Amino acid sequence: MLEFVTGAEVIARAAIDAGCNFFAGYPITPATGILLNMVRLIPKARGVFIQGEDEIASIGFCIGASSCGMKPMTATSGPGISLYSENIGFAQMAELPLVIVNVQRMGPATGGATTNAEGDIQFIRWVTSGGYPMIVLSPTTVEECYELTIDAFNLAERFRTPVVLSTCKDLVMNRSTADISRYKRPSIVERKFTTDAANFLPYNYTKLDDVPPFAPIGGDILTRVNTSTHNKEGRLSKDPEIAGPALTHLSEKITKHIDEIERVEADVQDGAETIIVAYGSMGRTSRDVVEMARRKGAKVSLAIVKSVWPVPEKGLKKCIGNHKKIIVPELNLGQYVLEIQRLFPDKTTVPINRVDGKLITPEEIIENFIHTSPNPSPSTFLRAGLQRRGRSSS
Amino acid sequence: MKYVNPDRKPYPFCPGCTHGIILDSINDALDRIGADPKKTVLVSDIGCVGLADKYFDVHTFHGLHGRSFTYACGVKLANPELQVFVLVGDGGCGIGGHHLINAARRNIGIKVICFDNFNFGMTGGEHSVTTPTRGKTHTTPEGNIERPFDLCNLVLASNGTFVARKTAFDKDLTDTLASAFGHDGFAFIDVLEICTAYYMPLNEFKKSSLDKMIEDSGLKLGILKDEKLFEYCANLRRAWPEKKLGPPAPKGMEAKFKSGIREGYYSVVLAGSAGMKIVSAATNFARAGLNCGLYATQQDDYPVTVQTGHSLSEIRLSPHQIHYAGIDRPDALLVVSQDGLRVSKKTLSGLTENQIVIKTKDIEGLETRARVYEIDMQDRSLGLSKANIMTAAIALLLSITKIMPPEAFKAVLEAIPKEKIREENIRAFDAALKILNPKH
Repeated sequence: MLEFVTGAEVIARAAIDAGCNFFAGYPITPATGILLNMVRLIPKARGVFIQGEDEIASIGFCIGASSCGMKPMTATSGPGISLYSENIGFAQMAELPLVIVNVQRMGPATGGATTNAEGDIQFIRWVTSGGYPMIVLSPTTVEECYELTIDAFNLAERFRTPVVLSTCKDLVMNRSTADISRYKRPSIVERKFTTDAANFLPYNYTKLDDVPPFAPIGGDILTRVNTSTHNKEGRLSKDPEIAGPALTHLSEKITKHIDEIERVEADVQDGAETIIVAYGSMGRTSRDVVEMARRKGAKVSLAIVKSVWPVPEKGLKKCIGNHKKIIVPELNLGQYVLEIQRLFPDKTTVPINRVDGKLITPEEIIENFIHTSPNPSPSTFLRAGLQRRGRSSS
Repeated sequence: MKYVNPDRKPYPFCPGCTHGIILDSINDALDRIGADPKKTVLVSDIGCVGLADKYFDVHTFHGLHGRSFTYACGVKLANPELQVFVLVGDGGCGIGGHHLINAARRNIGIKVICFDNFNFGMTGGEHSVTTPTRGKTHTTPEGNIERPFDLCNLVLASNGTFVARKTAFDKDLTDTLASAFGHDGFAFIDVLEICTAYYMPLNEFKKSSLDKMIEDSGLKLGILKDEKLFEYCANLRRAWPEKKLGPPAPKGMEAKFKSGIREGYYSVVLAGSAGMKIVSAATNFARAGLNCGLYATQQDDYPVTVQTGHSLSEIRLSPHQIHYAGIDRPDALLVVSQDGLRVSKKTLSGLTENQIVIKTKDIEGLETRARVYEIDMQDRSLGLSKANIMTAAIALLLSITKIMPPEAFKAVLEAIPKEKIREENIRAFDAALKILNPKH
């Protein structure tokens, strides 16, 4: 059975199914659909909905609620992520789970409110001071909106950290067909609450990569939440012997468990020399590219990166294997391709970029590996991307 | 009951600083109301007073500068039974003023205690929103040329339900704090005090100068407002059902009809004006596709204003999953207004005799190589209006092309819940059949 839905509807449904019981947000196109769906759904699930006075308040409410053991979500677009930035660092530092949906639009600044772009992909990784790891997932279909929203909650709770669902206008605002049988519902992961009241410390780790058991604000065990560098008791401390391990812990609890986060969908074709590496809406388009190309008899592989950050190195290395050429289409000036070039310096990488608000068409990708005319003529915007890198194989 | 742990004292504040007096008073006020430490939450942010949390044996939450109001509101929204109080400085009330006025406006039952010493202590004596005019700080070395906030007036103007101003030297500070803690709603207490590190030496300010400053500035002391009004977090819960309800199940559509599209895509651009129900008609069209087991995508474009300008929808249909939703050259273009023509001129120029254009008769200046069909909106016998013309255009397209049986579309229209809209659409559907077969 098929349904005709927006990504916004599906993300909201998935959030409720994941146990989300707190939503705070501020209206911003193209993320408003999520706000509008949540205001209808969450009170029925006996959860809290509040429209903040701005984005800073919205994420602040979520952080306060998370400290009480609730499962909060907020949704915004690039300008809102700018305002979330400091509080994202706080959620990392205070180890508070939180799901942030970033429905990207054209930037910089106010940019184009109803215009497609995926220009926040490096921004969302390096969004806050210190550069501690962010977990970022990116769906390519409405069915994946459902699964990855639940995954985002699960990873946030598992690692006690903010997790971003990175999408764009194309998937969230527009309606498309979902095959109901393809909605995958991961089992729900709950936060690990402390069972040892006598020895409880709010930020207790033995090994640096441990995730400290949690006690909620307002519960029977007194706890401390602290945005400043703190000791295991949650009290302010700048002692190098405390701060060093505490901050390394924030990184290692994620980087040492990347296997739990990696999500790469591989569609590798035997004998293909070209592989497309894509995420988000370009992952979506690339699915059509592969089908069209194969119908024309061409060989091509596809790696869809659903866990954009941390970079799923293992999964990518496995799919890229012996392919010679890596095509990286992106709705920005070439951001994630930097990671691909870092990982695969000996391969030919072909960035395909577009920042005019239009989606890159399947044909614009195909002409980079099936030469239908002697001189493929990419558009002005495409050419900009190719020349900048100087790594085009053709 | 001790809320401040005596073993952790003395406080870390500068000699003579009055922060400690206020903290002790908070301890006594909590004791007075019999607060359960496990149900008590101290929220602080940046500034000297933000050093206080570690001295308290209650739940503590130390956050970003000026944002303590938002965390406290989040905690209270999550768990309304908690006693949540914010310790903030005049600096925090400046940077977080927006949150202060909105927490007050909403009447979220947090208690805000402002440690107001007219300057930033932690960063070294810069001016704040409460620095008196002519007051010297390290960022107003010649004297402050700005006028200060009366924080109580700010909260009063925001409809805060409990507002008080005291000084750190008032013998009855504990009484006022206890009243604030007992208030079922938002409470704000501006506690005026002295900064011995910066504001006093820079201004030759003495303890006695505080009274003069209050008088000169016309600041009112005491409880300025104490009003009973429904507390926000409790109010919000009144709308909750008794039992938790999950999200609605996906509204799946069975394929009841057979599509004529066997492979590839069929793309249609629907162009009209705002107020002409273009987006709704397009969604109904796509759903008709689902009624035939087709996959569909819809992309809409319209200005941010309503009831003015163009409205454009693009529908792609295919027997297989569609990922890329863009349309470079549609198979059909349906134009029902001059606005619609304006935004589809580029599309129009790419059409050949293999494509179809359906237009309303009133549209002028449409030139194309495509096959053109017309609907006369003025023909009264058709019963068409701006609100249903696009539905008629879709029905006509289906009758001409056989991409799907028109009944698949009619079934969607018949399921429209609102009677008036349903009838309007079915009338348009029937009109389209009349256009093709004028005899009936």
